[in-house]
Amino acid sequence: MISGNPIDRILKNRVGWLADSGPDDDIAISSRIRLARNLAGHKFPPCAEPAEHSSVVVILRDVCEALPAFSEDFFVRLDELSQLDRRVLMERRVVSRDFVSKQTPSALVMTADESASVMINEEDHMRLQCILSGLRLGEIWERISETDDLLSEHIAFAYDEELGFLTSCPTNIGTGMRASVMLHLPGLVLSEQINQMKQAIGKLGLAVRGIFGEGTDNVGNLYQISNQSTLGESEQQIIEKLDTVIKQIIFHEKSCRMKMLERSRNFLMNHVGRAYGVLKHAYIISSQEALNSLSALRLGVDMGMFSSLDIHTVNELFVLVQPGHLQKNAGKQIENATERDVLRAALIREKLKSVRTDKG
Amino acid sequence: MLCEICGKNEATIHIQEFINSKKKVLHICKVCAEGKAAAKEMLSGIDLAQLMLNISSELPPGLAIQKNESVEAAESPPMKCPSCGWDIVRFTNTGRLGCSDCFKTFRPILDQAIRNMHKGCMHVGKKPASAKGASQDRMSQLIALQKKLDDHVRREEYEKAARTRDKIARLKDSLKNRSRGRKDDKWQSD
Ligand SMILES: [Zn+2]
Ligand SMILES: [Zn+2]
Repeated sequence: MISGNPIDRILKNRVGWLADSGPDDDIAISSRIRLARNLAGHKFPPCAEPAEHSSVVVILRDVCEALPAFSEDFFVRLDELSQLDRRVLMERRVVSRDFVSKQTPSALVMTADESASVMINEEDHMRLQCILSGLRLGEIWERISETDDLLSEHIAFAYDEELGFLTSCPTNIGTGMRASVMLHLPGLVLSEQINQMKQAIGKLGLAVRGIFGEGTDNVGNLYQISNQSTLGESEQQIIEKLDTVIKQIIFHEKSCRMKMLERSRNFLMNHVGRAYGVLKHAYIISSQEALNSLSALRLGVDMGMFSSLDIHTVNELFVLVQPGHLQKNAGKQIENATERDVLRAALIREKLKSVRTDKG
Repeated sequence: MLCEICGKNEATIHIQEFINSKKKVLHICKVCAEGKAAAKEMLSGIDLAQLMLNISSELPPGLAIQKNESVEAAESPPMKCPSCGWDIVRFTNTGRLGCSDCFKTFRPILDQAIRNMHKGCMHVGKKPASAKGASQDRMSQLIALQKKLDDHVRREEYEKAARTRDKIARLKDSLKNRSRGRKDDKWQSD
């Protein structure tokens, strides 16, 4: 009854950043800001002893629970959760990939809608996170900065006049802020513009990553664009630049789609239609094929080919088809990949049961 | 052989391409070849990279350098942080530092690395809200009480533990009210 329970509870929640509408959310699925903060006078987590980890968890739990943002709080000790439960949290993007394998005392505090959360003892004492649907970094910054202000009234943060907020990894010092936007870019991928785009983004000092971890660059045509530098620019400058670049990318993605629709309509319809057929009728489907086909289906929804399908259903499927959620929903651990592929296909067929293609 | 793009149809068309000045043969199906040709045609004329570059006003040369560059160990005395004991070996192996003072200890090798990673070397963003005396006090009080509670429980002094627990609850309430109060102030000043 101790472990498992809290995760079963959140599994029933709708995930705000997937289920809500937001500005430009046809292409910008979600925006997120993370702030790294450490307690002054305490060793950073990579260096601290287990006893210090525990006391940091206790201290920060009290402080977080006193914040209005976390009044309907959800608190869970990460190190007491099963690997599967941690994976579910990672797939919902409330904890990082590195956090999943933590053995030392660490914890997560978050709001009921999962929009705001605090990782305690990841590689920094605190990683504040705020994630919302669509492109709205400015709004997220206001929210997270307010929480940060309240925290800094109660806690002395590790801070240096010259280097800003001090973090265990020097890549995060200064603002301690990582802002990112998750983009769905099938148009740029299909028209083979994506590598050029990635190079351009890299030259601007921004990072592009696949969202499913190392080496998953093209899976689902989902990309996360974030700032690299955290020192020497203010939070507003970083956010404004990111926002400008993202708007450019969205513009190019849209014009790619328009042009394909005009000049190679059959190619595009074929791409979407085949994916739809696979999702609707497959009995065995791998995670990668599912994510790629869902990307094509999402493109079809954006282009008005499926009026009976809500884009948020497709968004949610991006999470539900991943191994953690699949096993959790089945109520058991499933080691056999083929068995998971069968379950995945069944889940997708069920979700798309009432969907029809529009005539035309 | 299956098509290298869709992985479904038989590859019947073989295209030579030059990628990064290396010749590569692409085996694809008829459907994908048509799509590819269409895509090529419609996108010629858009120089995306140029377009994107126009947005950035100035770009420091340091940014082009990879962030995971290995840091060379300083020559003679092995650096070790006097506050936390973190040493140069652990720093180079993990890329992580052990505490705030490590930034002073490893400053000589950090400086160059920081210049490569970041736009500047001087923080210009927000500062922590000036830690207000009262709540700081309450915070350290809370930490002390928590330790006291642990001690009482360990020594099985349950009455004392209960009293300490009450004190903690009251203190947490006052912290909570303070946060709310502040939030209200903010709304009014808007
Ligand atoms: Zn093909
Ligand atoms: Zn140190």
